[in-house]
Amino acid sequence: MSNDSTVSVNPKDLETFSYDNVIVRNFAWATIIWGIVGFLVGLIIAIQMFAPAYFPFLDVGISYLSFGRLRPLHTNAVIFAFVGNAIFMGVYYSLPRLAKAPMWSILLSKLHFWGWQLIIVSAAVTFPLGLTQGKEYAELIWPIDVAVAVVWVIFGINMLMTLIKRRERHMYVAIWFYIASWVTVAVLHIVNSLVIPYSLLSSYPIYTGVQDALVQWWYGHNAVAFFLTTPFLGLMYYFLPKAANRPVYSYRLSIIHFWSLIFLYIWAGPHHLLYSSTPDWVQSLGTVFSIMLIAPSWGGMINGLLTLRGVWDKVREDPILKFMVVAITAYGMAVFEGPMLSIKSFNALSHFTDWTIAHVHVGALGWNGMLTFAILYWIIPKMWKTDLYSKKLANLHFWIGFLGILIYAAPLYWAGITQGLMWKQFSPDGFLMYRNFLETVTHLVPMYAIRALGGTLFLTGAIVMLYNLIMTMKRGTFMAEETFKAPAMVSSHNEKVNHRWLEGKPMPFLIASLIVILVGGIFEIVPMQVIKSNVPTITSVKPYTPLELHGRDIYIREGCYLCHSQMIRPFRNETERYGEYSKAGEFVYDTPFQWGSKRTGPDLHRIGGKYPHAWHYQHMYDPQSIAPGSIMPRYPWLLENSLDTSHTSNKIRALMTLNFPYPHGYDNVAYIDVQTQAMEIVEDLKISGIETTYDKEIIALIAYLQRLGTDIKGESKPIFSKP
Amino acid sequence: MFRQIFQNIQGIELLPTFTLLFFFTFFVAVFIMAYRLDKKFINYMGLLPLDSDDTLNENKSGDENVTN
Repeated sequence: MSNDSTVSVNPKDLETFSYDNVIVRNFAWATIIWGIVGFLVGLIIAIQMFAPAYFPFLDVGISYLSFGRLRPLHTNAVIFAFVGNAIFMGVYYSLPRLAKAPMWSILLSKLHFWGWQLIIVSAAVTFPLGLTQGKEYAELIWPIDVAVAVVWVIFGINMLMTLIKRRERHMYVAIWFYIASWVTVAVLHIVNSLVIPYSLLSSYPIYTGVQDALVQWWYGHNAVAFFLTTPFLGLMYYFLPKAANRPVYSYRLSIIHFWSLIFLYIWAGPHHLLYSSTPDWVQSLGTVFSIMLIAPSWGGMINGLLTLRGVWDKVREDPILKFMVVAITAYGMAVFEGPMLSIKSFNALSHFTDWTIAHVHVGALGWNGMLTFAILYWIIPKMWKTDLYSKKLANLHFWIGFLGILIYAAPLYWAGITQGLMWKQFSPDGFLMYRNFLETVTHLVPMYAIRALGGTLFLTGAIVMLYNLIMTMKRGTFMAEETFKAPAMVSSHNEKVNHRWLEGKPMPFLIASLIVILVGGIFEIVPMQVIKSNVPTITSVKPYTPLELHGRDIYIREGCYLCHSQMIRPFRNETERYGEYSKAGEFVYDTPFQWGSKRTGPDLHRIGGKYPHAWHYQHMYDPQSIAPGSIMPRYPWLLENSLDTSHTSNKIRALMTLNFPYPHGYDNVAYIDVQTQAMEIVEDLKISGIETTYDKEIIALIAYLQRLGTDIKGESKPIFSKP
Repeated sequence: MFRQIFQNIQGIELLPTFTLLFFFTFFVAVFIMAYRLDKKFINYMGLLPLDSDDTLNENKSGDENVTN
């Protein structure tokens, strides 16, 4: 190659080194296996959403298999296991080749691989057990969070040291995306995982209410940005030119794409909280930056698609390119839709509905799924020194996967818009047309069934891929190492101090990326944490009683927040249906916040006092007996299980460190109030003809539900025993 | 430190406007920088992924092959 950046080398000066394919192969296997597991769990919970209506016998009432516990397993498996392993597979393949140097430490590579798989297995065990932090996509309990941080640092050290020891002077744009993703995920994970542990497995976040919501969605949004998007853009910039055998359309555009994207992404988190109790300025910030995001995102998409200019005939024949085209197109659709949903008037209709679920699956199945499949189909034959076993099967996979996405997304768009409109519908007399929330749900059940069909197709496609790849491996010979030769890196003294200098230095580059992403964080998060006027206080709002706290922890354990919001938006249809809209000051003792992001069931913020205790008791035992047609699962174990009060004191003590105004020394006597309040509920249930004992979990849950939203009405007067 | 800085900001609601201008400046700077980059350098960078395993390579058993 003749240009100013290459140096003519005597063949004797070439250094010999090897790329480790074993680590790539291991991550590839993990990607395939966890992908199939993640899709399968997704299919199971998709079936659970219509099973109570069509196949009630499937609702067997086993706690470990309930929707609220399996849903975090699905999302975490897909995000961190499937996509996570795919990222590592791609990075461990492309980074050494772009750096012309082997990974710095095979030991660190191995620790990274096995550490990450151990984390995934721990998640698969803890979620069905109900061990969760109750924050979406950040559900992992604190000991696993610590392990994630350690493994992430191991990965980072290995990546950066490889770059420091590289032979290629310039860092290709894919590497920038890897570096920025690594540093941002580290910041997000640490900030959102700050907790006060009260036991070996459980903890409370250090943030409460509005602040917790803002930190969580700053994290949640940027987990999508810097875990599901930017690393994959790095993979796109490497594997697309490889598959198409031509350079990226515009390298200049990729530079602009990178810097604008990482700058803008970090600010957009508050678009998840529009019309919520967060201050207006925060919401506007989220909207403005989300709309601006279209520009760099589409810049990246166009750069990807135009890379294929002149080789579109190959797209017809090559399944790998087909997968890539659909992936990039899905990316373009999702990143256009995202900003649209961040416009308040769109959001008023879409938020809390299945529209959001359709949106994220266009991204996850289309962008992440299809690009991962493309990379696997490209990388496996390469490492096994053979051709793909069957192009026909790969094409079959492409078509059933593609159809699967369509059949998944279309009914959910329909369901989301339908339900959003039904919620807002008033009769000519000015009453809600569908006052009973359930009416808007039963309408959607057929859509949920069709969605499961789409998921089945997508899963089937992945299984076809598994077979195709195993057969490919069988016909080839795996190259554990690939030996290469390249000259040692020579530094140029003529290099100007500008971008070319920056992208040649991994550490300054990392720091520059860190500064760019921290700017957004500082302007968005810090004012929320320090300015008191952001959360006006309400004097009648008091901390939860110990029994209510136990009930709240059961609510979190069962994942109730995944189907029920606790955020009544200031719309007439919502205040008519649920009562007074939610105020920021009402959540000051909520840690973690439980606003939710989806209403498969109604909002629960003002559920307190709406129904008698006996209603809740019966409803948790068998929802269909109270609300025929309900798709809520049964929770019979809550009536059987004894409440674990062994951590009552620890819980109160943890909250007292957050300045919750419990009386001094209250942690030592809280257990008395647990029993007193529980006995009152048991007596009330007795009057309704229900015999139970005060130590059952259901009693604590009833106590919590009956407290919800009652403080501002002045109805709740929690009494705390004097120590 | 941040507490004092932020509490002294008059009209925190102007933050979105300020940040918009901030980003615009950043964007223009990146655009100018990208535009001014040398064409040869841009071509070289674009070809890096294709170049990355162009080198004559050999697998562990020693038989040689050229990829891409």
